[in-house]
Amino acid sequence: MIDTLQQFAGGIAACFQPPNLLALVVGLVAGMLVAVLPGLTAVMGIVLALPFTFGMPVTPAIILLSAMYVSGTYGGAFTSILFRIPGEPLDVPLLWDGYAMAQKGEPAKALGWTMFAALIGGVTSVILAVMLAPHFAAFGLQFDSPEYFAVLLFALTTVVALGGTSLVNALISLCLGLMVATVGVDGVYGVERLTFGVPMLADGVEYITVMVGAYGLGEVLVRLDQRFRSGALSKGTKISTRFPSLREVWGVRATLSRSTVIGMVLGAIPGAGATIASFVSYGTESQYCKNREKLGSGIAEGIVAPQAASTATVASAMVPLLTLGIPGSGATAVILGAFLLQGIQPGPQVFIKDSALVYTIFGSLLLGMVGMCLLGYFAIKLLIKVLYLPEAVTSAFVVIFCFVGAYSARSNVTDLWMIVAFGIVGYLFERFRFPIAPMVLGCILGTQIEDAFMTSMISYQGDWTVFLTRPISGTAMALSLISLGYPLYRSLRHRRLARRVPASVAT
Amino acid sequence: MTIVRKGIAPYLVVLMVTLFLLYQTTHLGFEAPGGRIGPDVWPKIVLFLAIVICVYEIARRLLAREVDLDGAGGSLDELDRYSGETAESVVQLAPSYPWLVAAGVAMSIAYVALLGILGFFLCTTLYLAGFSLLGGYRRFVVTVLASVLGSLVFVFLFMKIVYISLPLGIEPFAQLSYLLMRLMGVR
Repeated sequence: MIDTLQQFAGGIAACFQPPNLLALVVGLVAGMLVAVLPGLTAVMGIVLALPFTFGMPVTPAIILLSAMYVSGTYGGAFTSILFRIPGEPLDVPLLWDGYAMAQKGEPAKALGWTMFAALIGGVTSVILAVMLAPHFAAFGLQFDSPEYFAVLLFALTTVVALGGTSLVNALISLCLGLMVATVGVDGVYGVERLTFGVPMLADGVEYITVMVGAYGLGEVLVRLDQRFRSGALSKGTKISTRFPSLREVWGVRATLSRSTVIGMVLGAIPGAGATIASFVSYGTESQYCKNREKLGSGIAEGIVAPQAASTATVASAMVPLLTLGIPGSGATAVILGAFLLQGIQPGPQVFIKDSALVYTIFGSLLLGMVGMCLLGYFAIKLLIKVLYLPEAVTSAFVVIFCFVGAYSARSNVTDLWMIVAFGIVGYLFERFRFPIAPMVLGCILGTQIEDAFMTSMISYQGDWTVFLTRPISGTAMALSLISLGYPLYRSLRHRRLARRVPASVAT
Repeated sequence: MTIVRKGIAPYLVVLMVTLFLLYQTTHLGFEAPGGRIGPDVWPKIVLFLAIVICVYEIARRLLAREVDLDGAGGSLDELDRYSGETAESVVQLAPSYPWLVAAGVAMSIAYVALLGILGFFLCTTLYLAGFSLLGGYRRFVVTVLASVLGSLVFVFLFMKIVYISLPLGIEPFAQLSYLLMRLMGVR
């Protein structure tokens, strides 16, 4: 424990080296700007920043992206509370009590509660994540290829189960992602697959083009489909922050603890992430909060719960990524992509051999939590001015960023065609309610899961039962089955109940 | 009509694509040595899974009543409920403009196609101005200024700072790229 804390302190100190500190500050500001703009999501912002990391050393590169991830969970709170515009889906629960409190004439207090919740929830989760990470890494060291296959399968199935409104659509999205990952030369035998004679496809489809296309261009096309119609801004809103008193803080201690725990647990589960944590914690408060009958009327608990939970997901989502190499969300998938582009495969080996890097990233998360609150307190008046930029113009710039970003990876125009193709796919996915995250994760993890599968099958002479008979892989396979089976069971039950109700009404 | 009304079209398209890819995968022309599993096994598993899911969904939609089709297939109830509430109460349901999307896609395709001919600066300036106008922004002077200045910033940022060789275009458009490079001190 002492050793862990010493390394963590070293990581925090390393964050003050000029390149790391600069990356942290730039990441926080960029993440806040992205979160404030309603047309841009945090994941999209991180994807757009990815090309800038190509020429950077790995530590500031990851710090830049994770700082954007941190402040992305907080910046949207301002627009939700002040203008009733949720910058991110995770900010929606803040509309109910945050905006209501602002309407009652206390916007500064509402912003104060948000800042307090983000700070406490975020800092607590970083400290707990640092303490849990070595145990995760030690667990990861026991993995052989069957375990990796089973754990990756579990990660993908939970993403599918939690990733959207339809299990079927999420599964199709995942299959498409895994399919894209098989394009190119096979890693075991060197055979070309699904290349259709196109030389460029022999190298495979760059997952950056899938990410940038689906999240970047696809999102812009979705907004264009609605003619960039955002909510009208009420001018002259006073923007200031007033912190709650110690007595008020003591009054929400139970809400804060519950929400931080919910955020940490849901952050570590692949596919859950900040949005679900935000909604679930609000839902939990509506069941267990002392003032639950007042929820929605502008009370502190309704602000603290979603904000603390969504910020707490960040550090816990980084634990499986840094210790096992498994991303749990769109944002961590992009950060994994950044690691891979730097030639580093995160996992237990990196955690042990390059622990300085890992603890510097954790240190940057802690400083990021504090930094984003300072930024929110002092600079939000300036940052919020981006809301007045015309969305059509900012979207045009976003598309160019997408193109240049992907072009800079290989300097090849074929990648730009891929972006257009996946942009159209992303738009169609949104239109027909197919979630994008499973496709992107399938695309990134596809090669790894296939390698683990092939290695297992070759090492164990084609014995399929190896995935079921080993303790860790067997457990992970069972959990995969449950994570897919439970929503299916719930859906069937729901439909059966729905059929019964009209029947009983008719009688 | 049933295909459109019951929302079967996307699943049908995916099914046809996966069937085509499955056909391609069965003709790799490679036999794995020593009875091992070959490079076709993993893609086949994935494609087979996709086909089964599509067939299931198409059959379910064909057999189901239209009123049962919303939120099909194991949704996260609580999030759905809140999301539904949000869609109505926060963001009023906006009308859809598919022709705008088609124009946006066409512009993006034209951008990629013309990038090598016009060069990055000229092509980007035209795209930025065109896309802003397409999105409904009607202040022409601001649009032109933002497009020209934005493109210059992109050229400076990526060629001078990040050292990326952006397309220069062919003659006579390349002359403009060379001029800008000289002015910015890019070698």
